Amino acid sequence: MPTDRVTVALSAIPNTGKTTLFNRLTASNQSTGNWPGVSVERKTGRFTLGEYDVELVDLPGAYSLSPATQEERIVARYFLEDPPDVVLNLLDARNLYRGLGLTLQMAMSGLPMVVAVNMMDEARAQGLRLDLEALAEHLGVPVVGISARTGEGIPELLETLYRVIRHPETTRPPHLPCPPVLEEAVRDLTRRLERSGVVRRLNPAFVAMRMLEDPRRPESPELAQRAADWRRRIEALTHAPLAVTCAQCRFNAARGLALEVTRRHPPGPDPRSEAIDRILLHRWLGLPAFLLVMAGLFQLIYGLGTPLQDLLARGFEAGAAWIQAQGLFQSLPGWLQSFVIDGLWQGVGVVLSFFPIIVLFFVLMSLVEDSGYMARAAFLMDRLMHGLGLDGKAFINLLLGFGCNVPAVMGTRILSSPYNRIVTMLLIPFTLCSARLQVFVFLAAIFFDARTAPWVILGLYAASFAAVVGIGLVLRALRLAGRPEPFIMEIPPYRLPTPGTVLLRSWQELKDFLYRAATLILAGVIVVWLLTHLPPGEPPAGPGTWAGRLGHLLAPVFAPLGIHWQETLALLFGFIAKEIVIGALAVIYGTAELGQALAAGMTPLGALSFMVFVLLYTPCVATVAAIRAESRSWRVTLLSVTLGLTSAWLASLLVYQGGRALGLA
Amino acid sequence: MGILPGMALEVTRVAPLGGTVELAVDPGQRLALRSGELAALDCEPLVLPLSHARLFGDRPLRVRGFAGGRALRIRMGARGLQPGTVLRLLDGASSAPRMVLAGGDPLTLGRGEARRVLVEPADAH
Repeated sequence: MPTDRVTVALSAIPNTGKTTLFNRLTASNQSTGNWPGVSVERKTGRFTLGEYDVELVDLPGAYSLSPATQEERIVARYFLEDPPDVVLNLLDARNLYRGLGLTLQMAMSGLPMVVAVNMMDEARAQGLRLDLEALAEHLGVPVVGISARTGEGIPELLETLYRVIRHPETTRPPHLPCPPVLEEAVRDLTRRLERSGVVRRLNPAFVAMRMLEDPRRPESPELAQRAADWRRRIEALTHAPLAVTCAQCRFNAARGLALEVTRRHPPGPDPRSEAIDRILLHRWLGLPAFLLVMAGLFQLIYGLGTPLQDLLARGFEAGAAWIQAQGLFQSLPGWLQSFVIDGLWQGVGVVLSFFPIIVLFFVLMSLVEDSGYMARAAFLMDRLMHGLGLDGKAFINLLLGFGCNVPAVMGTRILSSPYNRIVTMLLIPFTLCSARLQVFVFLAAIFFDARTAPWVILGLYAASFAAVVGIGLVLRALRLAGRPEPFIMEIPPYRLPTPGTVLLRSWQELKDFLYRAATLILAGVIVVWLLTHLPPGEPPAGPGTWAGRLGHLLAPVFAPLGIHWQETLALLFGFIAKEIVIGALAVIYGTAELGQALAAGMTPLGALSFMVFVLLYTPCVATVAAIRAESRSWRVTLLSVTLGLTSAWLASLLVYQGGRALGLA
Repeated sequence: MGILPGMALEVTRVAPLGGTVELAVDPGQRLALRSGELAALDCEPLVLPLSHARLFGDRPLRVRGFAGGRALRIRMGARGLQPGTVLRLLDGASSAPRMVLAGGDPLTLGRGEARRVLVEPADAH
């Protein structure tokens, strides 16, 4: 029976296989939240270890505790304010040097610690031999060689972790040789900290270093002042920013240590990755290969997903018919029947209809990401996206938005910085998704002849691209989403993804979507039902309903766009999903001969203006819910809706009035 | 990320669209960054392709190696260029540079060839 709760923090630099180990240790027993004050995901998982109930905290990937990036600030703050009981630090066997910088910093904290050296199998395959005992001796903490992918060494790791939890020994912090003035500063601050008499589990020298690097952290005003003074003195003497000086002593020590424990060097870079990259990153072949991969992705996600969605939709219609046939249902009043079928049941249907593509999307994206191709894609596409202040990975999200915006928005979490994530999820709603395409194909066939219609659709695609670029430039110029960050990315060796990790990830995304987005989607569908069915007694979506009145109320706003109140009402339905816009128009006009009814009331120019509006305004309530869930910010969500509505109104105005000025109406 | 002053970096690849380069830092460690960020690193060139060797001024140059396979090595060897060969550029501004080898033999390389011959200042090391 587990009794004691223990917190273990899992820390590693990016690309060390941290997620794989995290999944292996905690399996499906995971939960996600937020790090305080920021929109960075905080993942925790639980597992039992002997008599202990271990809470494993997945720290964001950071290269050091020096507060340069948001992730590093989070990790540094976590260590200072809420130090874990035990630190589990993960290293990549093939890349000890780069990871050891962080390991050394963590070891200096004095917290009980276990170091796991991951990818021992791949290192062996490359001919690398490591002396882990020597590493343990130098670091003063136990070191275990593992392979999170194959499970090698995991029992030993758990055993060691258990031992350290059971007998937590304060580690002997390694000493890093630093410039004398820096050492003196640390000694001085350490003495003052010790004198202040606050008992803490962290080594005072570690806290002193943190204070030097980030003097805003208030131990006491005097200490902060003192640290700031020292910092100025050190920087004046070393002629370099303090962060650089610290990184230098850390990595010098790391280099020495890495050299010492490496018994046999690998024969240079991974030859397999090099061979693959000679083709995939080739000057001429690289881009065609990339486009081929993207076309494959697109086809697999939407080619497989759309039939599944249709199947689900048919299942839902059958379900609705079954419900309507029940005696109990028929005894309900008419408005309640409609609420159950057109409100609740449809809402659930909208939520479920996204399941197939979300699963396919994340299975394939995990494959692309875990294999290492994502970094290559970013490298290839970087130049193109740079102009928008984004990096190359965002290109993939935007491209997949042309299939469906919802998974594309959810996929922004793989992007490297908050800026990239927010700008990309603000741009995705402007991509012409397949649901909008249905509306366009239907309307183009009514209002344009067979020769012109394809050009209209093509023009709308072009308009979609232009909107993404234009809005992207506006966002960058106005700095509505913060500042772009410099782009420095590691290109990892290619790896074979593990099916377990890929499936677990997809399952979790699906669960997340259900938890975070489903309520909002359902709420949106129900609100629209209420608007179109109240007050009771009015024919649904008729002019007397609240929605009808809203349509009339908004008529002056939409009149300059050549859009009547009936179409305005259909746009309101379009908030739920674009697939239902045409159906809504049929209900509003109250006719099965929708084509004739539309053609009678609307000019081709008005129809074009309507299509442009549909292209640019909020794609659907599910996308809004996904943006809210991913950004965890109502401000960003609101910005997205506002951006869509404003740009749609302006563009439609331009099309309609411009067309009239040219004499097209 | 462990890139520190005094460290040697090697540009191993330029993205097809330009603007982004791949660096080899340690053996097997590869980073991608933008040329703007690379410029901000304030690097001093140690080894350059012959096509850009004018950045070294008119110091005598030494062949450091070739960015290519055996065929290129043999072809260059036949023309008197091998690792360690010292040469002096005559017309570095041209894309097909003319040069004199240490023995006094003149040599002109094609543009594509010049991009694959890596040289360093002869007084280095």
